[in-house]
Amino acid sequence: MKILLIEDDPNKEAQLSNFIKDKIIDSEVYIRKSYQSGLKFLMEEGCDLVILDMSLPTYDISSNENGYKFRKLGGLDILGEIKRKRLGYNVLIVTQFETFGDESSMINLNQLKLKLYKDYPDNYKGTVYYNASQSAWKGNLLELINKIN
Amino acid sequence: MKKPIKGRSYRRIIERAVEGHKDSKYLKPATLIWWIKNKFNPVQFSRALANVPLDIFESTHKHLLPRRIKDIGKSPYASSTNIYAEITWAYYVFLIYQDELNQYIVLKNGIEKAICLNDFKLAVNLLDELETVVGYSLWSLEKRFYIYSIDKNPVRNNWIIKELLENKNRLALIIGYYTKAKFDAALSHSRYEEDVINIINRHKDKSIRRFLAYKLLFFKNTEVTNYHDNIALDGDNSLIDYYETFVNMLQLYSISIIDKQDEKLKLVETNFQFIVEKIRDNRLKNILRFNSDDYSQIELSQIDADIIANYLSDSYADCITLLKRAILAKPLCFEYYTLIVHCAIKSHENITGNYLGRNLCSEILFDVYKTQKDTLDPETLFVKAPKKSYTLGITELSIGYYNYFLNEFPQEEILDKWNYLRLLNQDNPLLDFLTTVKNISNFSFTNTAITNTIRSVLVAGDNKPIETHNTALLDFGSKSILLIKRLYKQKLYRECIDLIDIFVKQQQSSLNHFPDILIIKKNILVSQKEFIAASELIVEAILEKPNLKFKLFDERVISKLLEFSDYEIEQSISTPILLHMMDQKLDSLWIPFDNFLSCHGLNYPSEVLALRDTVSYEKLCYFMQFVCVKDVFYSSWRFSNQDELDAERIKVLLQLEELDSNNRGIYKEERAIVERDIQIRQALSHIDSKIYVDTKSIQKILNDKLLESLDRYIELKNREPSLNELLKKIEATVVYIKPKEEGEGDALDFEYEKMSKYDDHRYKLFKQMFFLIRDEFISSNDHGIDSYLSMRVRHGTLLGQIRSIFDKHNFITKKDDLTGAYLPNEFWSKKLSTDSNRKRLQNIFSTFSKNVDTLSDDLRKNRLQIKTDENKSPALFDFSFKDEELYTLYESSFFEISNVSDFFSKIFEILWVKTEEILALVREYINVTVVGQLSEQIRILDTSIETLIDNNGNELKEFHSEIAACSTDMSVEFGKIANWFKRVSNKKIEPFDIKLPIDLSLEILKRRNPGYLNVNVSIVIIDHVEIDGDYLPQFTDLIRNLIENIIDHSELDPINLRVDITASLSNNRLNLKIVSNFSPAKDISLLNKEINDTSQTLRLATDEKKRTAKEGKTGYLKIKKILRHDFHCGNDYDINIHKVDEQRIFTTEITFNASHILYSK
Repeated sequence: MKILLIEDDPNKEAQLSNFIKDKIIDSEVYIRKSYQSGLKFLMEEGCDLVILDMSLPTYDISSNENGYKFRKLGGLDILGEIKRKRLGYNVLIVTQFETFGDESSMINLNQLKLKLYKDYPDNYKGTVYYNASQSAWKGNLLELINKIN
Repeated sequence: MKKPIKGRSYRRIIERAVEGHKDSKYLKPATLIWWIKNKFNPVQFSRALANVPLDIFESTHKHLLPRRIKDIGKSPYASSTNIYAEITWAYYVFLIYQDELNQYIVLKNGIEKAICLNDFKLAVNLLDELETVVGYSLWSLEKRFYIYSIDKNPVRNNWIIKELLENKNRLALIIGYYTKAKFDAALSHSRYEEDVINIINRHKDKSIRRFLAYKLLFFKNTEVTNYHDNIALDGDNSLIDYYETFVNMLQLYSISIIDKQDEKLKLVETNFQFIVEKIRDNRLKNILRFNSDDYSQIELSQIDADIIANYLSDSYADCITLLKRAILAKPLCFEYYTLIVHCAIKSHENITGNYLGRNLCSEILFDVYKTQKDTLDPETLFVKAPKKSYTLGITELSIGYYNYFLNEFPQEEILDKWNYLRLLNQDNPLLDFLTTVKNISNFSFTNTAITNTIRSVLVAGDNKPIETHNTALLDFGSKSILLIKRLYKQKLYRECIDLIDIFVKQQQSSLNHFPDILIIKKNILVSQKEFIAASELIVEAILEKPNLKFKLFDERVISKLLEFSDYEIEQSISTPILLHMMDQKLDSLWIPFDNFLSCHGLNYPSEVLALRDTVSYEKLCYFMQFVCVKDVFYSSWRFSNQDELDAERIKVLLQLEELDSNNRGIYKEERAIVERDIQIRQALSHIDSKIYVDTKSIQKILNDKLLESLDRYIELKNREPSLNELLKKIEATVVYIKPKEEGEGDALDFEYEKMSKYDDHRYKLFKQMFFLIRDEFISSNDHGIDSYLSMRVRHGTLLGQIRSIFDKHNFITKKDDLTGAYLPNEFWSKKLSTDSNRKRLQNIFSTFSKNVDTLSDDLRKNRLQIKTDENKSPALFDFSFKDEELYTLYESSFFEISNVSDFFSKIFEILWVKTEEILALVREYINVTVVGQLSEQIRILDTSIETLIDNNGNELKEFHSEIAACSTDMSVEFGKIANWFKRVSNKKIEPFDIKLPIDLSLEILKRRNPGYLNVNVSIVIIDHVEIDGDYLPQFTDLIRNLIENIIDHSELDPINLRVDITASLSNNRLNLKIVSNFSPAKDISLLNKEINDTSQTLRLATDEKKRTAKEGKTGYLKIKKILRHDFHCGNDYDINIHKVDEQRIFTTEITFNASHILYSK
């Protein structure tokens, strides 16, 4: 299974990729760290499953690049592009946040899930709440991946 | 019609009234007037007049000509039941005061003309005369307020207000007071309206509320229906106010009955026609013409005739000359302004803000010109036009001016009223036909030659009959609109659009009616769901007249475009253009932009140029200029970083420079900004790196020292084989030499066993030189890595950077200066704590703060340190070399070296390789170990708080969110910190001007603290100076220290802080002058004492630590160091810290010998 993990937090990325490699036999995990590099991979190479972080820098951060605009909902931007370009990939969201949006339009994780199911029925397959200090995310993630696989 | 009062009865009433007036027992004056206004028909009224002694009426109205300000409003007030009663009464009053009113008309024109020409002295003289002859009025006070406000004479204004305050008529007082307020420059137009509405709403009486709205908010377009009430209410103020309101109300009433022929006839048949005969006011004549539909007797003055003739024969220059004269003679005639602008544009003449001298005429002319040239910001205009109109009062000019801007940004429902009002106020309505259009067949001119000329020009081609409207005053354009509207209402859309197309083709877009017609066409297209055609119509109209965007905005079109469901809509270039025009956020333009590109098989914005043959030139330019911008295409996956993004925009701008050469300057300017951004970003990557060694200086210092050793080194090499070679030879022969028995060894054996290759003289000499250079490379106070680590990493920067990550989420607090204990975390305490857990919560946050600081300190004090010996120090910058390693290097790289320069280069190369290895370890340590340790701390904080707070409320959810965000921020920020420990590429930095390090410093400060985004720094470069790129990091450090010092010590919010930097060069001495302001809260004497102490300390203290301690974190020591060592100034520099002056201005001047750092080609 070819999995693309788009995640800019090195710790979370390491945790997720190690876990997936460990649990999903024959999985190939590709890491991208920004909106642009993730989208580029999807446009040029493709995969069976995309695991998205919600907030991402626009570009890969390097010594010469500060990432440009930080996209608070960069994961949604990618999901939007997948739908618009009719790429047909399965998408999971792994987020550390429980609420989203500004104060006036704040929605919680469950509301977000419903919205995603409604807006992206062909691509969106579920959301996992990630917490570095807990392990519940592992079971949830595995369950969702197995459903897709 | 009132029921006639017959016979003696009316006489009795009058007689009783007169008697009553005499002894105050019967009818009071107000009641008398009421009776006359409301109970008599015109015939009875005439009889009554004949029967009442004139002195009775005069005494009733004695205050209509107030001799003092406080007498305004003393006349009796009598309401009326309809406008005809007021006309009848007005006729009587105007008859009595006919002379005064005619004098007023003359003086009014003179006063308003003088005001327009800024001849305030004349205006005041005329006002004096008016107030002497006719009396005071609210009208004359308004003019005085205006003059004194412009002429900055608050004393006079205050005197008027003081006089007004003695006035017992509350309405007069309110109107007077707010009339002054509208001239207050500090009071915005919207605030003025807000205040006035407040005061109006306090009145319970509806007719008074409406009257005040008319008097104070005339340009707010409040509906006026109580014409007679308003006239009556102003009837007690003064003759002038009564007359002015009478005229205004008659105008508005006439507009309201425009389609009611009977009412119009009735008005014409009243005494009004006699008033027109008695009072020489063109406005009255206009009202009569308007209601009788008779324009046959309009007279054209010679100058107007000449203007028309010149205009129609395209002699624009001559026309302008005449119009300038005409404006100066009749500055209230707004038509002259529009005509002169038309002529100027057609003859490519520029109009400036001083075109007719420094006066109001020029201001208005310039506004009109800017609107026609589309250089006037529409938003500003929305505020400015009504404000200026209020300021002018109700005049022919202000109504023309207001109507003009309404036509630019009109609201359909009120436009008709103002168009008519403008016509009714024009001194000569005929002129309007030149700038609108153009069917003059209903008019006859006294000069038949002109009539024929105009007809031949204007009527030609106009062979489509247009329905005649019931008012002949309407021009061709208005009539066309009426017909188009009628077709639209009857849903004859195809016919309507055909007519619109013919109209637009014939009349061109310069018409006032153009927007109305477009709106109708757009509405038809939208109703027919022809969204592409609608969006193209809107785009093309706005491209031609940008100000139309407000009028043509249509939510239905925008919503349809944003559905992204129609290929044809996506394919149209008008879609992204229209969304941009309608102020959609740039971010949201990405999808229509990308859809458009995809539909045309394009990948990059710069490829859009390929469509130049299929897309209109104007649309292509607009699309490339406003839609093909970074903020739109940064969502494309085809650009990997900002450099590629910028490069693409530059490519587009270069194309635009070729394509749209008229606006080349604009594109060049933007290109310069983008290129500057690239330059700053590239420079930042150099500056951001904290690793820097001034190898040039090291070589310079050690050169002499090493020269002797190196000579010997080379000599040794030439004279004898190296020990190693010798040893190798021995090794080769040793097999033949059997080892002796113990005690039998000879000298050779002994030497062989004891000596090693590392004892080679030449190697030893090399090692000695190598370490000398290494130590300088590492530890030199002025040029070494440690110095830069100290200055750029350990000294404050690192700790600040780390703390800022946790500060952002309010997880960390500072230590109390006195006790050393961590301050309470107020932020989370307010959200999470209860009385019972507050202490424990604070302990958790204090522990977290302490642990973060401990880890930071460990990184700073123990890890980011240098070590040169093999010891157990945890320092990461391990520059120790073992003999094996060094000898290999010596043998492989140095054996053949025979000159100093190569020797230095080689050693520096080795040291840089070592440095790179160390830096990789440091980065790993930061990214993995430090981030891991701090992540653990965040986890502990998270679980500790969760354990403490036993509910799962929103506050705890917010806390968890912040924890997650902080965790991500930490990874990102530590990634940046790790990048400090990357050596910048060897690519040489280009020579730079002084502005670059200033921009860089600000960029760095803004990145560190977004609050600094608002710091206002002005830069004046007196002499253009180019500095060697090698010095960019140090120069930036110098400037950053200065600005940081100012920010830290000024105690001002960035928004109130002002920093001016001036740079000049004289005889290779560069002078930097930095001027800034200080908070008013700061005690200047205390401040100057501190400055004095710092200066003294810097000058006198010899001990480095002492000086560091006493410089008070001003950064001056760092600056001195940069000047002395990095810029090689030695003592040839001067830092002059001036005392803060009385205006709280602080100045620092730095002058230094710049000969070493100036760039020479």
